[in-house]
Amino acid sequence: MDKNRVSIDQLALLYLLLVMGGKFLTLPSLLAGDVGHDSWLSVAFSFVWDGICLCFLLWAIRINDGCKMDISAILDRSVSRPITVALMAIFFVIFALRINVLLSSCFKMFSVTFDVSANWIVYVLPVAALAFFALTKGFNAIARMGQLLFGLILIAVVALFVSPFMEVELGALLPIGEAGWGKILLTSYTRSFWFSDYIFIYFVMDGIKIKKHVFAPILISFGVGALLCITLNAVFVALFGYLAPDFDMAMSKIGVFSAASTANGRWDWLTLSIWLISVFIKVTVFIFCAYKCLEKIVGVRFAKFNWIAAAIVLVTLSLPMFVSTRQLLDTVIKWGVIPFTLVQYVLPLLMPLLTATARRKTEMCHE
Amino acid sequence: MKISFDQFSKLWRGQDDFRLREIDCGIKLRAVCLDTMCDDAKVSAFVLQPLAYVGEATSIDEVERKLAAGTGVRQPPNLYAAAEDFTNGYTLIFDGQDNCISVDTRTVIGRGIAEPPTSMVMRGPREGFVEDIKVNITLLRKRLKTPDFRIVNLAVGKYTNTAVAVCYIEGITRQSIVDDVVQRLQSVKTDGILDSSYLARYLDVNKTFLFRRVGSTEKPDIAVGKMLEGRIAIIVDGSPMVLTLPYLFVEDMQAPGDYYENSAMTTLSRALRFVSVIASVLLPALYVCLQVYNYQIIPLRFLITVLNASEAIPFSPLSEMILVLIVFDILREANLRMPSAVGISLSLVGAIVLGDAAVQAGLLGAPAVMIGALSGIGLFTLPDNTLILSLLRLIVTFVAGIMGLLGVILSTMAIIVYLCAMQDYKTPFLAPFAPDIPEDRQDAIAQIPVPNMKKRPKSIPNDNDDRRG
Amino acid sequence: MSNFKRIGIVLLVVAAVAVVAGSFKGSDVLDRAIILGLGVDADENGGIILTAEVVSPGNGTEQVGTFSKNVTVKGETINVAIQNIAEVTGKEASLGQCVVLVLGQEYYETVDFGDLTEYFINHHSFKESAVICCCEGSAREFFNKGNALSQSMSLAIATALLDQAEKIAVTNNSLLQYARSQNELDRSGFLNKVSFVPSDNKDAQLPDKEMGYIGYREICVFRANRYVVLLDEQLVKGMSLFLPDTDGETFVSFEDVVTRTVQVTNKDVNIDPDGKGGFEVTIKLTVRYGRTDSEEVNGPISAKGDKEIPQVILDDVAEQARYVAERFLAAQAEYNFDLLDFHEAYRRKQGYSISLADKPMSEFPVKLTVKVDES
Repeated sequence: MDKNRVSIDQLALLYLLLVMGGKFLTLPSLLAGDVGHDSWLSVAFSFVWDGICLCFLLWAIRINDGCKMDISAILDRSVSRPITVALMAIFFVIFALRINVLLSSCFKMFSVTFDVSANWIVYVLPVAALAFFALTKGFNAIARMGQLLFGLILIAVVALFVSPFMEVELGALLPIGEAGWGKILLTSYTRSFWFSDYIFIYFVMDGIKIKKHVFAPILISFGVGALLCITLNAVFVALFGYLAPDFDMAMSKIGVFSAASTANGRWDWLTLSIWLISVFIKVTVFIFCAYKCLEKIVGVRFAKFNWIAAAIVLVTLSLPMFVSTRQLLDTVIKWGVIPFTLVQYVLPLLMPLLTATARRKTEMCHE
Repeated sequence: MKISFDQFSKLWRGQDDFRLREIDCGIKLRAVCLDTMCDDAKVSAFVLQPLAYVGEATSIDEVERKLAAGTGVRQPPNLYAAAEDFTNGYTLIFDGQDNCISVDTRTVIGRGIAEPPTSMVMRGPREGFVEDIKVNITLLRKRLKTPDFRIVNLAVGKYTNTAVAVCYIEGITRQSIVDDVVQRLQSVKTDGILDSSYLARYLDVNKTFLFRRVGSTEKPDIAVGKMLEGRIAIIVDGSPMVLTLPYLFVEDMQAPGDYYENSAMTTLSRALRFVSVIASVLLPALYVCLQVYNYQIIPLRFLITVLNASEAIPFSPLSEMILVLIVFDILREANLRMPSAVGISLSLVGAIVLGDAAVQAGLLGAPAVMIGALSGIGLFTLPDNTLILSLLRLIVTFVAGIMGLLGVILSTMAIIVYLCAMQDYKTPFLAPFAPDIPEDRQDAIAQIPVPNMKKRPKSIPNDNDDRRG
Repeated sequence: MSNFKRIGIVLLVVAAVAVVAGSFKGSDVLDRAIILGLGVDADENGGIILTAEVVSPGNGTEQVGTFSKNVTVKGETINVAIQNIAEVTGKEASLGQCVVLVLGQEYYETVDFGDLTEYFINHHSFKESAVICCCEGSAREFFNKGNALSQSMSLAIATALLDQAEKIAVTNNSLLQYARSQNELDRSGFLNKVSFVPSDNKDAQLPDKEMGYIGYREICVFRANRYVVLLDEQLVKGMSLFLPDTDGETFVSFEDVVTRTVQVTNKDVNIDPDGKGGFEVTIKLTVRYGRTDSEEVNGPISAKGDKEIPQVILDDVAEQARYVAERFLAAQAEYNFDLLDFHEAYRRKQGYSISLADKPMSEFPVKLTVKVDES
């Protein structure tokens, strides 16, 4: 229990890292392919919806203060066990897919940009080993790692950003909404899979230690993260124009223009590697959540490291060996977007109500 | 409690330095001592001379009262305690009815108080702890003239019976931590404690043994400084190294002289230590992985230099760097064990023969030697963790050699997760950075001037965080 | 049993390390031919001749200094040609450190090189920020002039176009910028033309050695990766007047019998679409007398410091500036290329349309105003 404790400040920093990690890989080029130079608007809309859901979730955390109920306890007590299991199963699929998408994007970055080829399993195993090692150390250790590396990662992102930002002519984004507002909104819906990073908070709710503020720190990091993502998308499409949809590694391409890149050496790759830490932190957090999903589906708290659950998570990571990520995503968008929206965007809105109900029931039991 | 002289003398009579003196002063007395542990002058002044003038005595109690010249005179409660006194250099006096008293006649053998070689300072006190526990406690007491300075005395080790003193300041140090430490020390089951570092292993809660979890210092001013921050000092007889608990990683970056210098200078030197340690661990790894996988990162002109240097080298970049690092570790190890006079010539041999000649012979590349040396020197800025960091450096380099940048990222993250999870005595090892404790950053890497440090560190649990109250 | 377990764990770790070590395949720097610059020429058979400046390591004892050699290969496509470099050098070619791409005259004048730029744009190791330019004569001969410069030709071009030229010439130094210009809207853009300019200076040690420097004041205009026209120095000067980021243009004027050099120190350019399909362009130049280190030098060209510039000279400069600017606009209209982003300005207002992209430059009437002030 103590190992999974996390303070609001740690949660806020970790959340910011999660927002930054992963979104600068393939997403900008996909969005550019969908709506051209208006992709940043699409990102902005996604973040507006994210922000609303996050507020509701934080409200639920405030209600949960002192109760230390985790997501399954809340759902069990407020709705019913079968629904909990079903929702956890959906969560597991989301996490498994997002880990896969993140890892395959990173894999691509290493093999294409860094020119290091390896097979999928040999690449995934060390990452999984790190994640499972972190798992045994508890979520608290992951949160502290986020806190420790936060400054470094932020400096790396800023170093990668500043120079292209100064160089780019943002006039290239005009006229605003050229792709059509309907299409832009639809894109933010179809690409919603990449957003709603707050879903990890569901799985650490029981360990959150509230001191004073709940909303301010997390909303500030949400704001900063959203601003960075929107800016990066804007800079990316303005800088690369018609080429943007073809450059599926946004960060590595933008890095060429970073302050760290000199005419004679790719120092930006080092900065890029520092930023990649945030992607691996995100992978670690999502693996933690996927593992917790299994725990909650089974309904038994795993005493120590559970090898079977770890093996199941590991097996899901071998998915890209059989299906290409693009195929996977196409299928997801076709079939999964509705159930995913349910847990990503509808459940948070209900969370305050569910938490309050669960809390009332718990207190009645105690009385 | 009766202590049988026959039983006692049977235990010790075979020893060469066993001395027995029979005296008749109304009652028959037998004084025994260990020649090697006693000071002859003290035996004569505190035992023999008074007894000679006692004249007629009727009981051992009377003898005890009349031996006023000795400061430490007592009746040991049992044979076990009598033997402990005896081996510590006390003279035991037995009467015919198996009564016994012990008189403190210990000899003072040991080095004088001097500046410790491991923590020299430009400015600040030069006193250092010695091997004698009594002197060491005196050194602390000299600086802490308060009744709140508390000592819990213990004896650890079946055969060595080493005296251990747990020192703390009541009202500052959290009592639960003191209890925890005392309980841990009491539960130590071993035949002997020869140095405080033995105990440090027992005080490591998680028994990880990779990083040092207990601080040590040879300087009383440092020990007192740490006690004033809520820590506990543990003095072990026979060891000039005093242990301090709880221990933070950042303490290794704080040098003894830091508090006696300008705080801006201290901040700069601590930042340098911090950067040099990170560079030391990562530089060899980066050099290898950049050569093997991502040479595009290396600035062109340096890359050409590397190419010129490496073209004729028979080793792969990884084995070349591992070789350099191992050679450096061998040199350091040899230097430690050599007498200081030979040490200089060893350094010369290391620098000239191994460094220059290896490059000239085309065995190693000059950039690799330079990076190995730079990394080796950088590690010494963290004296407590040099060895473990040197090991980690080898591991990270190895992983970097086989997995490239991915390996560097993952292994660094694994080390950080490991460090972040460490928590002994309710103190996170990486505090005040992970978890972030803003108040404590005033004396972590950056240091604010001493008058502005109004609060005790929050990282270490304490009962009174106001330094002025 | 516990010993078996331990041995098992050790074997497992060793096996894992061996598998991981065997699976990660990188590019050891010693096995790669590091290319500093590439020159592309046309081959008679429709293929290309590729000249690469490759790093050639020294002999180990002399470890500092740039050692390079030029390698020339042929290939049907750029990809094949680069692969052929491996045959000649014995090492796989690496483009990660390539800083310059030079197109030979015959090649860029006759060939559509869209696939070439596309290849480099999509090559992850190749830096999009690398310099791309055209050269006088064949790229192969141009690279061989490196000896005359006493340094690597690639590095010399990169330094010249990236650093030195920043303030004194109009440069297009990025492959990305060029590639975008050839594929968006009117599809026209430009590349700098570099040439080796022999000088009369002699090296005292080697009197027979040819000496010279790299000139880069001319510009080649391309449309959809096809050569359009060469802009001479005066047209480039005209173009530079429209670009707010460049300054340092000089004008020579006469005050009585003395020749005065006037230099632009600041520039304010407004290119506004007038809403009727044309543009209102205002160029405000801030000038001062050209400065040299010595004041009041006797001679026809006088360097002046703080003296006030008479109105007559300001008017003359304005006239000259208007003349070169109009000449450039006329060239744009005549050869139908758009280096001043007229199409882009209308796209930002109205959005993209095919009719806009296809609109010829002659259909953009320009009302030009030039004002000159003293700083």
